[in-house]
Amino acid sequence: MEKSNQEKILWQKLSHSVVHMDEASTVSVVKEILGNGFSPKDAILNGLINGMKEVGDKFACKLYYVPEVLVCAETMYKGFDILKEYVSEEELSIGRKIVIGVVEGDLHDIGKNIVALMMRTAGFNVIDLGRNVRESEFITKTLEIKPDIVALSTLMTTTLDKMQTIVSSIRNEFGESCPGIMIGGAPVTQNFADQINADLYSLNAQTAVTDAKSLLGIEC
Amino acid sequence: MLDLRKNRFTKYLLGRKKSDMPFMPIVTGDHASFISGVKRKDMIASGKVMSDSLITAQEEYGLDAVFVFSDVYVEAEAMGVKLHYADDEFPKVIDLPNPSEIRPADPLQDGRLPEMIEAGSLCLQKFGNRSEVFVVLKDPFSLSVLLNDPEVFFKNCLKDPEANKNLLKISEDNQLLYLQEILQTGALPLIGAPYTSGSLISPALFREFVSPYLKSMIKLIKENGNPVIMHICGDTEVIINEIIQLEPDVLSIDELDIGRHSKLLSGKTMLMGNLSTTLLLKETEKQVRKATLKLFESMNSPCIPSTSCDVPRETPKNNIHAMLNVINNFRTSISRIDQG
Repeated sequence: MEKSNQEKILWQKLSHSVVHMDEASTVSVVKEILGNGFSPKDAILNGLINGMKEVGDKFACKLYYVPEVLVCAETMYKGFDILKEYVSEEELSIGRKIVIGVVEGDLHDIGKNIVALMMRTAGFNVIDLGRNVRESEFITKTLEIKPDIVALSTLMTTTLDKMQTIVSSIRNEFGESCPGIMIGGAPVTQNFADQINADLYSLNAQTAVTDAKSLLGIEC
Repeated sequence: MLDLRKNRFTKYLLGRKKSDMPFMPIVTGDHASFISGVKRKDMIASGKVMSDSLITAQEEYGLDAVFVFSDVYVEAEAMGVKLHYADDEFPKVIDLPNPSEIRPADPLQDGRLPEMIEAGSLCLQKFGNRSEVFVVLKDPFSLSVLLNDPEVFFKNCLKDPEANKNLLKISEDNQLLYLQEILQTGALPLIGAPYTSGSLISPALFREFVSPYLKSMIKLIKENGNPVIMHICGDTEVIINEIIQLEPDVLSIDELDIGRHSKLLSGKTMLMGNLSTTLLLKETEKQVRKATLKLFESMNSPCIPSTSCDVPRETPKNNIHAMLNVINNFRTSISRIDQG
């Protein structure tokens, strides 16, 4: 078999293992890729990340739900943890940074974690501030990291006001050089995003990636 | 056979006459304490403070029902989750119990369970037949998520289902004990099932991890002659067949197409909902009136006009009154038609 064909087949196997949550197969295919001297970077991009893209599509179509996405991600990381030893972070990055967090007062972070995961697999450098993040922390980290996008999430109506305050503070603090601001979460709507002057509202984790890319003028 | 008090909610549920349509936005302790000038922290900790707040809210708005609910952690805390309380915030989890040490709580002694039971009793004493009192408790699946690291629990649905089922059984036992005490007060239970949403889990996982543990709660409620009322956040359409199998009398839904849901449920279960709580919090009275009218237009079978979730703390009073005015006008016009 030609080397390139064999490599492509292994990428497909790797994607398949991620999508089907098969950790043992993921590790075994990764070892086979390395054993054959194939590119670890290509294995990550064309195998693992392609697999996660398919997972994202299945999530968007309601073929997969939160448990499936979390287990697929864990499966992907089994392979990634081996391959990353051979690849620098810069090689995988699209060179764009996102600061993400759940606003203060809200402890629900599953949605945010899935968005962060999808962003990472799309090549963004994601700085995850976690949940219940104070306004001051968003400002400090934005000053320190100078991200391209600040992403805010909340699952609760009670913390919508906090989201509004944070967006307003970021705008005031950074003025003309303000990063893109995207928001999401169950009670968030496009109308609310318009009201509070956010640049972007995303309906779900999968659209968040394409929305973020279009905001930054990156080809999807 | 339902054996209920004669308030507007139960009359409507049994008779389905539009002139009896109740006004039931989900006003819980949070908004009620806000309009009563009470700190969230005080309402969360005391059944007496919560009932006083709910009574104030009932009188302010003429509510046909109030909902005894402070925060999602009430049962989990009684079973060992450690919380931190701050002045004007919801409590935060600071430590989770060791899974092997989780046991059902004593609803008359542990954590804030006795406070919730007391709040239900005090509201009932005050209201009599005037309005209904619901005490909100969780389904075993949602409680189990809160007793655990949610991501671990969700992953274990696929990776270690037996570990989840052990915890679900303990949660079920806990909820049955708590439910018995709620029923003793005469208040109605409302099963809040936020983590069973079709936005989170698949119909297959719902059948395996939600339904079997909810059935015993539903059976106990029905055996006591009471209606089963459930609220599920997020997407309920994808799990509608699973919900139908559970035969709730009322299903309270999030911001979804209520008309479409009515058709899917084919009239056996009455829908409750689903005016946007974001709209209620953020928009003007005019927009609330418009949205309430739109909600009426979308109801193609008897439904209970309510909100998509609990009314946010700082919702302007006028917006709740605006919703009530639409419902009052509707009742008046229906009565006129009925009288010929």
